[in-house]
Amino acid sequence: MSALLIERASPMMLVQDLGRFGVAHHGLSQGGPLDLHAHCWANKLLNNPPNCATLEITFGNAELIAGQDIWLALCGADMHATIDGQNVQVWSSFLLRKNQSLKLSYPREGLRSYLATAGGFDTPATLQSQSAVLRNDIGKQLIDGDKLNTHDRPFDGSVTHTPACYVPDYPNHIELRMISYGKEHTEIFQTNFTVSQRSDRMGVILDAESPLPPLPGITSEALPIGTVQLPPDGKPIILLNDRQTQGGYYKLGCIMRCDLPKLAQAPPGTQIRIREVDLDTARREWIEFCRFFQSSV
Amino acid sequence: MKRPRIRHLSENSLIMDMSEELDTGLCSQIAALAEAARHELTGVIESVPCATSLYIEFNPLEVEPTDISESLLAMSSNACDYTVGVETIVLPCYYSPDVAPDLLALAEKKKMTVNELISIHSGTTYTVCSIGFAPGFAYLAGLDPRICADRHSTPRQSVASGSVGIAGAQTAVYPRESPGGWQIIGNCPLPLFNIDAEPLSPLRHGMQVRFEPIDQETFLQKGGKLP
Repeated sequence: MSALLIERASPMMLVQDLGRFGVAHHGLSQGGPLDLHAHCWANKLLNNPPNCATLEITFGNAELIAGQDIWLALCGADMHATIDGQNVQVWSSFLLRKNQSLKLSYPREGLRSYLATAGGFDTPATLQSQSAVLRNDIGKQLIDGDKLNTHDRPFDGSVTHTPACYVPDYPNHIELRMISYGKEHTEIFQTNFTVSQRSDRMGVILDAESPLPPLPGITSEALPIGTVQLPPDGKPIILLNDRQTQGGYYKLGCIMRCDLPKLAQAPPGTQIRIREVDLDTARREWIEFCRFFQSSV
Repeated sequence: MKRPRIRHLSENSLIMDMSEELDTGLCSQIAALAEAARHELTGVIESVPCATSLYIEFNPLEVEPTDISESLLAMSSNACDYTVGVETIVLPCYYSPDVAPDLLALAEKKKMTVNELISIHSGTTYTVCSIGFAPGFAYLAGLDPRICADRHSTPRQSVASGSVGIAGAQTAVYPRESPGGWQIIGNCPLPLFNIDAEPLSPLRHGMQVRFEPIDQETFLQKGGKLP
């Protein structure tokens, strides 16, 4: 008997651990949770290490049925989770008893929720990672009727909550800080952008009333997460976890990693402003994040 | 070689620029440096050889950016130590309109016979100057200027697995079926990427590649498929 049955899958439901590393030179994308903050908190609430695989649930509208008593934690967008009609608090751990069903509705704010289980979901690993990267044909989009097993690990059975100071809001206008690669192209800091419909796990495309002036391409090179590319159409692309490994568009800079979770929760239409941050500040905040969760990627 | 330059791209990634322009002679050296950085330096998460540079992603809890920059610069100044013998791989290629929708039109456009086009493409030795776009997709530099060609202005919805294409001054094999805009002149029946295999791909950065024309019978024997 499996631990969890997916009675109804959300429009996009993927297993994600921290990602697949050390294989970018073969052209493989890293994958991993788009909202690293919520993924890490879901694991932390159950005393899991950050690399335990969670379920990344996008757009909500899902139902999961327990095949056994199972400890879960849900972090990220509030999808008005209920068990037998009783509300379940997001950013908390809870027990789902055998045969009970966990129902998720649509998020009013934000886009993605992360469901962790004590010990982590047990799915086949490819090149040392369970992360699904659909564009690399690795892993799968979960569908109705799929079953998930968990790594057997005892949990002491206490309900835990993320302290309120770590629980973010998901407003309809956000500001992202960018490590800038040059002083000459400042239009990006003065433009009002909105998240385009065409955004996905590869990257978020920014629409603007007037596109940015196009800039010539470069010799292709590898790209860190958060890279802000400027293709010839003048609409910047912020590259995310499933990005191509190399690219030759002009690069304006890189959104700092600690700001990417905000972007991961921004549905199409969200207003975006970009401002500059220095590398030292970005690095300090990132190291603080890594130390907090004992994570490195 | 000029002293390489380091650019910090993000909190935990950097690029070491090795040359201004593509220099196929440098590709195997960049590949060897990438290999060495991956295995010898502490805290390296990714080490990716690129056309003119080396990309490094590191664990900020294990290594300081300044330390990793200095180690990389030191390694590159001893770059001769990292120059390995250059391997050559020969890829069989079935050049035929059966599998190559652009072969006839391209030959006509270049005002040459199909056989001339085939002998130019298979008579050149190429260098893997980067791997990207898709897993196992190797950009091969060194295409003869007589057969350089623009991409299709509208990419095809689907290009068959194994398709051998031309774009600009580069040629490549599509390791799997995908959308694509390259001019397709042949098909290579060998699998070039397998997630379950070790190594994942027979192609590596810096390697030399030649194409060997094969007939339909050999193509089918080696596992090639007609559309």
